[in-house]
Amino acid sequence: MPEVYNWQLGRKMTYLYPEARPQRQAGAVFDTNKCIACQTCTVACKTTWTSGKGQEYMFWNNVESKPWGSYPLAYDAKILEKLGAQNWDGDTYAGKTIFEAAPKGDRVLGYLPTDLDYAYPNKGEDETNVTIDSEKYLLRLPHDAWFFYLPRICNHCTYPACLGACPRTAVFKRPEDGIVLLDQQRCRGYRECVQACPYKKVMYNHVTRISEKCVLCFPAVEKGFLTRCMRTCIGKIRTFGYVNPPDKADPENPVDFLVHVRKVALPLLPQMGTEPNVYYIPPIHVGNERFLKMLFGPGAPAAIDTYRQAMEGNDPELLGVLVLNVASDRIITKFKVEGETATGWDADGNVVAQVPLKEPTMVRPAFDPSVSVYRYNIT
Amino acid sequence: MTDDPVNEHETEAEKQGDVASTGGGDGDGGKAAGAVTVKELPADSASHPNRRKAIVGAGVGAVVVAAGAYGLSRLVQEPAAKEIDVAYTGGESVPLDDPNSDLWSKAASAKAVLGPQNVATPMLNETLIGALSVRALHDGGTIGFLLEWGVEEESDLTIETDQFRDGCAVLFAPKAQDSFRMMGMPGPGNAVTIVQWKADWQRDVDKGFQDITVAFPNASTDFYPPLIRDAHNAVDITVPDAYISAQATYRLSGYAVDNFQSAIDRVAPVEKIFAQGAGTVTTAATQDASGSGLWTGNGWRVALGKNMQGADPEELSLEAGKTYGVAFAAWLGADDNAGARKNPSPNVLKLNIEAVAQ
Ligand code: SF4
Ligand code: SF4
Repeated sequence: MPEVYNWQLGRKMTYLYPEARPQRQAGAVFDTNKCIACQTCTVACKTTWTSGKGQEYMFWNNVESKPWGSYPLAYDAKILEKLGAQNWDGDTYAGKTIFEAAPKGDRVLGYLPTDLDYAYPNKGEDETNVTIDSEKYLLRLPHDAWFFYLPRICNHCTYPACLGACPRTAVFKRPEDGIVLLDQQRCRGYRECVQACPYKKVMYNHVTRISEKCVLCFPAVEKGFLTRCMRTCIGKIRTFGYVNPPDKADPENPVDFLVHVRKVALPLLPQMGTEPNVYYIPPIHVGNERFLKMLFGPGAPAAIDTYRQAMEGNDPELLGVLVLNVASDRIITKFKVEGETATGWDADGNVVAQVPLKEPTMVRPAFDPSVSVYRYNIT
Repeated sequence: MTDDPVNEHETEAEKQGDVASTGGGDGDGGKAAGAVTVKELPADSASHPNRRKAIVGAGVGAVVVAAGAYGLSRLVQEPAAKEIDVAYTGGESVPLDDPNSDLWSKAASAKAVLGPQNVATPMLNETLIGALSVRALHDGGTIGFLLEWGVEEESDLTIETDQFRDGCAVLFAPKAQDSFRMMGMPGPGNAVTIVQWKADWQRDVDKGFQDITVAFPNASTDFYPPLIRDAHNAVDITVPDAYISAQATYRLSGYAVDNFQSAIDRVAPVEKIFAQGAGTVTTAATQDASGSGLWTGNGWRVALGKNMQGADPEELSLEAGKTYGVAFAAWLGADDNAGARKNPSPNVLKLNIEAVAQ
């Protein structure tokens, strides 16, 4: 099997095909600290792409509450358990990937969910890791009792398990932007991809009897617009753009800046080996470092420190990238922070967003003598 | 599901190579021959605990219990066939629509040994269908096969994520070959024509399109854009009835792009397929193959075939009095067989088509 380099693992690994990175790779950063689980993203995707018959159960975008939530049920626990020990030697992954651990006769280590597994997208919602039985839990950071929201879409992986598993090459990765698509004409419904994707983001259509997956709103992305889930994000947690490999990182590119320069955004379950291209800023309040390392790799503690520095006002540049999130419906490919303002440009060089680092606030006296009235809140 | 009892896999994966090229089976029916056993799925394939119980009699073994009208009970004792003789009906039409027709007894039964597809990933490591009973007829215009095998419980739905179907296929090659691996490889004269019968398609044909309520009886939705359920009259939005307008079918993407797997208006349970090399299984432009499958209570009896004169440029045309190659494959839905995870013939047998007496 060909050997490819997976920078997230700090080493080479085997994959079904030789390394072939796209001309540019669409990618995103989700700031878990800001997600409010409003599910606007979920609904935006649902109404756009999966409102047909046979797609009832599908959420190409879902938001689960960690640690207990998952969609499909226990997808992560199941594949993690199958994979066995996942140790890191510093920044180098010392365990096996799902490609390296493939059982005899299989291309990828995976499993096929049942329809019941998809039936509980909100399981564990807002449930803390432990039962709160004392006030002390609430009084320090990180919290002893915690949960956080994890929004998930297809990661448009550099080494997609779905693509590797398909014996028909019905799954393909676009050379122009790295978006992974499933050819609706070629698919014959074998579900090898459904079994293989460790994130379970390929789904089987009950009516057309073939598989489908997140298309990263490619018609919008091609025109320089954000995807539906990003564009509608109420919490403005999402940075969308293009991500380079570390040796080609562009510090003016928002995604590269977060992933490679500040290293504040980390891949989800990198040990799977697919080199996912959606990155996460880990939650700063979670009092279980091992859990965070399991989810986001060994960089989690450092990422949290970096993020807190920015929140404390010590890193205006980092703050600047984050305030540009969803400030425009155009894809921001370049940013700059000058003084108190962050500016974002699209690929055509147009300024598409200008945002103050600090939201301006104004304190108005409660009593307005001109009309002789007391004001309450914003009225 | 494929389809190609040959090489439904990707070239690169094939390069991983290092797998034996026998295609499985050792000429005596493999591990299945003779044993009347009911198998549990191995624990590690049990991602579908709900279906582990519903397994088959192992290959020919189950056929013993499933003794049918055509002397299936003798199959176990029969030696593995190296050649398949296609008997001339004398002019009567090959009864592709009737697996129970007496005409099939005109042809002698042969035992076609199957094995696991262990040539290229994704593989089937163990076969649970060790052999098929085969009878073959032609009427000068149509060639047909009657395939029979034992299964304890039929799998004829593919609505749910973990539902896989039973199926069988006949592959026509220009000539017999010893190696399973070489079949359907690229190159002039190597194209193969396949006819595949699928149990879920049979059910669609027999009972109408199997909509989601078959798997989820209480499913109800008030709105599928642009279709709105008539809540007052409790009229549900059904496939195919409600999917007439282009706007509506747009929401069934596989169907909208004419993927034959996603047809909602099926007329035959058989697909005609071409393949020329690994991963090239392609639905034929002209879908004129036909057949009919019957659940016997403990197995399948399936008639399937095609016109001897090919309709498409890639199609292998067959002439009476000549010899070609033939191979078979079967899929066991309860064992999650699909695509390359199948039970194919280990090699291409000789197909002798009886001459038509002038
Ligand atoms: S997340 Fe899953 S579906 Fe998406 S590209 Fe990666 S392996 Fe494929
Ligand atoms: S729209 Fe944004 S804030 Fe709301 S759930 Fe989705 S990712 Fe979280």
